[in-house]
Amino acid sequence: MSVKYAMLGILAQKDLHGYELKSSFDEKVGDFWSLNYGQIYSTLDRLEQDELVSHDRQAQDKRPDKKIYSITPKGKKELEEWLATPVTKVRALRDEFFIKLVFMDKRNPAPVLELIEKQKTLYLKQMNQLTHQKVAHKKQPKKHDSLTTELLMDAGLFHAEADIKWLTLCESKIKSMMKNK
Amino acid sequence: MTVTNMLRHISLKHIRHQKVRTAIALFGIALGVSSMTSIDIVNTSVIRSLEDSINRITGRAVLQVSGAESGFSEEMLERVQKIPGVEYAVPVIETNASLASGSERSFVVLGVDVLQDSNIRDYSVTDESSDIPDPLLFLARPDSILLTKEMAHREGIRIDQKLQVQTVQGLKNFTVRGLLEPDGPAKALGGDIAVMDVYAAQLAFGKEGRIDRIDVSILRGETLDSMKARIQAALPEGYNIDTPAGRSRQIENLMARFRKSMDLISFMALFVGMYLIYNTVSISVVQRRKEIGILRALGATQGQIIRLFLAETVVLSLLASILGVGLGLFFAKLSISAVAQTVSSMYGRSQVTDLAFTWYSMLKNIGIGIAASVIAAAFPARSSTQVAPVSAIRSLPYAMDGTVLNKAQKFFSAALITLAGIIILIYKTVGLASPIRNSMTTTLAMICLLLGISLAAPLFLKWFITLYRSFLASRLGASGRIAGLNIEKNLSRNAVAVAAVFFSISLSVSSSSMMNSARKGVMDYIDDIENSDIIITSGHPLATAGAATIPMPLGMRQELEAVPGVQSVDPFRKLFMNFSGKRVLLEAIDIVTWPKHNTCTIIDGKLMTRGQEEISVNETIADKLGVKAGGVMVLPTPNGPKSFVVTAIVLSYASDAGVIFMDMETYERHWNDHVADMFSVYVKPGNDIAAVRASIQDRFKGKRKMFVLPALEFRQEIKKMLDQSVVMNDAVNVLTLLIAGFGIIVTLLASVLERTREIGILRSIGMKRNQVSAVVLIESALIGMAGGLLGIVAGVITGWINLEGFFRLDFGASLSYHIHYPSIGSALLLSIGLSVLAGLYPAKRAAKTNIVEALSYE
Amino acid sequence: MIELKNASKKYQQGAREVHALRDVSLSIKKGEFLSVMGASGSGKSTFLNLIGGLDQPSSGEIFIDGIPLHGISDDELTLIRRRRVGFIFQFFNLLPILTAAENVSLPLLLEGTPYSEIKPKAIKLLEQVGLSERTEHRPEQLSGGEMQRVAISRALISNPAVLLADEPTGNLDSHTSEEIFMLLKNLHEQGQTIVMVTHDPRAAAYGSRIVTLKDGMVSEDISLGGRA
Repeated sequence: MSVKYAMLGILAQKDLHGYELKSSFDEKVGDFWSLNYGQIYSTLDRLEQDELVSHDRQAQDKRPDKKIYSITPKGKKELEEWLATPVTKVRALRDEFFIKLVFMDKRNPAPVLELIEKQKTLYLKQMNQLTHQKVAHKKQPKKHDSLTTELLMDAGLFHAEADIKWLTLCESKIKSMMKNK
Repeated sequence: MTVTNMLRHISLKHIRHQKVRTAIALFGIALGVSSMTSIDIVNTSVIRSLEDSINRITGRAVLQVSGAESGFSEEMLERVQKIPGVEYAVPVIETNASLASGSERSFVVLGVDVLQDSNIRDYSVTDESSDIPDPLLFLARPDSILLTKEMAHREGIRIDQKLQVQTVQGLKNFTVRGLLEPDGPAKALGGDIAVMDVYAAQLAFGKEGRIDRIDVSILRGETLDSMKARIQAALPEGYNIDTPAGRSRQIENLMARFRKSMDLISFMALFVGMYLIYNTVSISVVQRRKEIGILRALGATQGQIIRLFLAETVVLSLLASILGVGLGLFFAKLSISAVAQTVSSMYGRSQVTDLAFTWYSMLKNIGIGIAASVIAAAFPARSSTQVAPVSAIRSLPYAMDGTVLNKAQKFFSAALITLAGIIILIYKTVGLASPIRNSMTTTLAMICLLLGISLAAPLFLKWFITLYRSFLASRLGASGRIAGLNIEKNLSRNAVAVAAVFFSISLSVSSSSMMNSARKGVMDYIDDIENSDIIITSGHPLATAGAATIPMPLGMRQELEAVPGVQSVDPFRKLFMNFSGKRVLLEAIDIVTWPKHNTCTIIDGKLMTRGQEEISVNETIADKLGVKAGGVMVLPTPNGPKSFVVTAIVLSYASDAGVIFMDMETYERHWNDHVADMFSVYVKPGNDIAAVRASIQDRFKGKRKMFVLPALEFRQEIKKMLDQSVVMNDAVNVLTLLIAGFGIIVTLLASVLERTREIGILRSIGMKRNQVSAVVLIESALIGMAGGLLGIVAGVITGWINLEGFFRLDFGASLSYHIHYPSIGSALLLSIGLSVLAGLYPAKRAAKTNIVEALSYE
Repeated sequence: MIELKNASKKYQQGAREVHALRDVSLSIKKGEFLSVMGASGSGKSTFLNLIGGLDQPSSGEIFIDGIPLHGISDDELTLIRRRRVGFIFQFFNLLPILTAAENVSLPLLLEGTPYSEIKPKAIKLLEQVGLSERTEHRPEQLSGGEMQRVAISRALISNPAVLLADEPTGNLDSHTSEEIFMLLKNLHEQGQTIVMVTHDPRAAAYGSRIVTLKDGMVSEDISLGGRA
């Protein structure tokens, strides 16, 4: 869902052709979503159908014409509405890990604890890396969009922290359950 | 220097930020130092002025021959004059007299040999005395007298004026023949001096054939010691040959007891000051725990922290001591005339004009002030090392100190109390003559006991609070319970406040019990020996010999007995004599009539009989000389040494140096002295005392000035006198109580400030303002009560110890101890009242706590 | 640089004996930014106390720059704290009565250096943390972030071998925390060895190495990221 708005957001700043759109997408939100070209183009097609974007053709030597996409007034309106609406849906839990937890053997939680430990380490490593990226990013000369990037990095860090805290709580509750048995 | 660095950057700021507490501590030490200084100055001033007077009266005489106070035979003069090496030997009569009119001022009459005395003393007569009196002319008229210019101007007396003077022979008329310039002896005693011919003086003062002193100057090349020995050899036993320096020393000895009690007072004041310093530094250490922790974490060594606190104390006490010296000077100025008067009435005339201010004594007192403060600060400063550097890591909500007593404290407390017990035990076991048996020993025991108890104060407080919680806390509601908890939570700090209260209450209970015992003893004694209806004295009823009294001739007894309504009259003669280096009181009584009216408490033996060479002595003499009933004592008499049998040991509080009783007949026989200092008159049954008193006054009107007092009034006079000596004690008590009050304020204020957050929490969950102040006030009352109870117990004990060390030593061991119960009651009330009063300000502070600020604080 | 060899710490808590640290062996290299993580009671505070010389191990050995911190007198330990260790605390621990510049100067004041000599250095350090306008303010006039920056300057004034931080941002909001961490990160890049104790993974993530303590033992030792 949000991919659609992300692309509208990019096009609201500048008219771009498909390839440029992908690069800009990667640069801005690539850490959160990775899209291939197929996904990009199919989304663009859907947006055109809904009359949110339109395209012009640009002739090229030796190569087929390039489609330059731009946002329509309807698309701009839709984007503004989206930006103004708070997110209502609670972020999904880490589905895979949650499913593993569901199938945990309640009589022998040791493997789960081990898993939690590994998971936490993984997150910590991620946070460590992201933090260093953020530090490096903050030290670079400020670009037009660097604040957005930094805020997104912060969001990532907060999410990972939340996960670690949740895992720590899991660990502690499982342990106390074991003790009470 | 690290310490100066820290002082400049940390301590000074604390001092600036905590003005109230700093000021209180400053005040404590300043007070201690000021009392030390003023006592120093007053004492030295009095001694110096006495010495100055002596030197002026002594003139160029280097040796003085004296006997008993009643004088000695003038034949001795010739003997002394004949001794080889003697340059001049001149006779002197020195006696008291007073003006019969005007200010009725008393003065000293110096009877001198007009022809010879200028060899010893310088007199310069004012120009006003136009016809410079011819010595022979002066001699020819026995009513001639010279006054000092100062006295004459003061009294408005002119030359050739007739002057009525009170003498031993009654009122006498003199003629002022000249005035003396303030120079030589005329400058002594503030000018209260008159000079007349020695033979005229003998007549006027009932000393025919006797002189009081021989002043001797010696030829060049003779040494004092050899001359002294030569004179001694030429005279019978019982004569004193003094050098002026020796006289000064005598005066210092005389003043020693006075000084001792003064020193005790200043020591107490200093001790209380030390308490305040101890208190301030203790609280400072507790309050600055966090700071200490931070400094330790940042690399301050334990030594640096201790030095920091000590350096702060040094700076503070230096300031305080300088202030104290200034205050002391001021106090000395205020009190010098009163003290001089007391000294005059007790030990002889003195007129203090200059304050003896020496830089040495000032520096010494400043030094003592600082040293005392540092000693007081040492213990709490050391406790700062208990703060671990780790405590900086985590912020502690507010200092909790659960420790009641650490081992060292427990040990010292027990050791000190035991030591006090041992000292008292030894004191009671050793013989009365032992050098251990003095007030220093008992003071030491008292200090050990007080210190020991103060160290145990936290333990006592804990016990007290447990008691409080099980009996009283629940009745006082939430505030009561919280107050109890708060005290328990901060035992050692609250114990400091308890100790401050304890200390002052114990002082007050102790001194009032001691004074009460002394007063009861003296009053009982007076009741025993003084059953007469009317008492007749020539000087102040309580003036001892040597002070400004003018005795009355013994012949007055018959005159008195002739007054209608008088049944009988008992004469008394009191005089001091030099006996084995002590000024001992000799009391002559009529042994035939006296026992009819008076009960004398006889400890051992039976009273002397008429016509025998017998005496009785009081306990002090018996103890000091080891004399028992049946023993023999040799007394110096004007007729040489005589042996007397001691027939009884009796109770007497008449003098702290010891009393010897003798029959009047024996006294007259050996002393050739026929005067009395006091007559006790017994009224015939059925006669009105007031009427008889009036007839006596009528009988002697115009002939003689004297006090005719109903015995009841006499006793009241004595009581008044005793009460006066209590006033000084009361002043110290008030002072210590005041300081204890400050101690409580400091403690409570500190704990309120520290509990800001806690109070904020209590307020936020619904505690009312007045409940908050109630908590603080209850805490305060509890501290006062605990301190008061402990103080009363300690005071009762130390009162007994002091009685042992001061009064029993001087007055005899049979003085029994009477606890002064009213003062115990008032001490308890006072300690609680004062504590609550002291808690008012902190309570107000606590109630005013701003909830929002308190909760946002760190 | 810092070396722990079988360091253990036991202490009495009432009647109970607590093993705060059990046989920890660890070596911290010069220039490292070590985050020590762990839940409360994991022994991380004890760890900090021991390498900071605030406390001594019950057994085992600890060295800073080859100098032993165990078995020496309190005064010797104190001097090591003063000269080789810079502390940053959760509650800042500034002396409320002193100005910022004076607080920064404290460790050198303890050395006995006159304030006039220290002051320029203190002011320079305060300038470096962006407090040039605040040198004469007292702590109560500063914000939390400013107080912590004063504390960092204080920790640096004696050019310590190691900077020890104890939950340095525990009392600060996220944004202010980040500013403090950026300061620490800068110091780290200039070669300062830093050891930080925290229970907050977001704080710990700033380290070049993250050690996790559990029940007084090292349970994890991640050393990745490093310089990005």
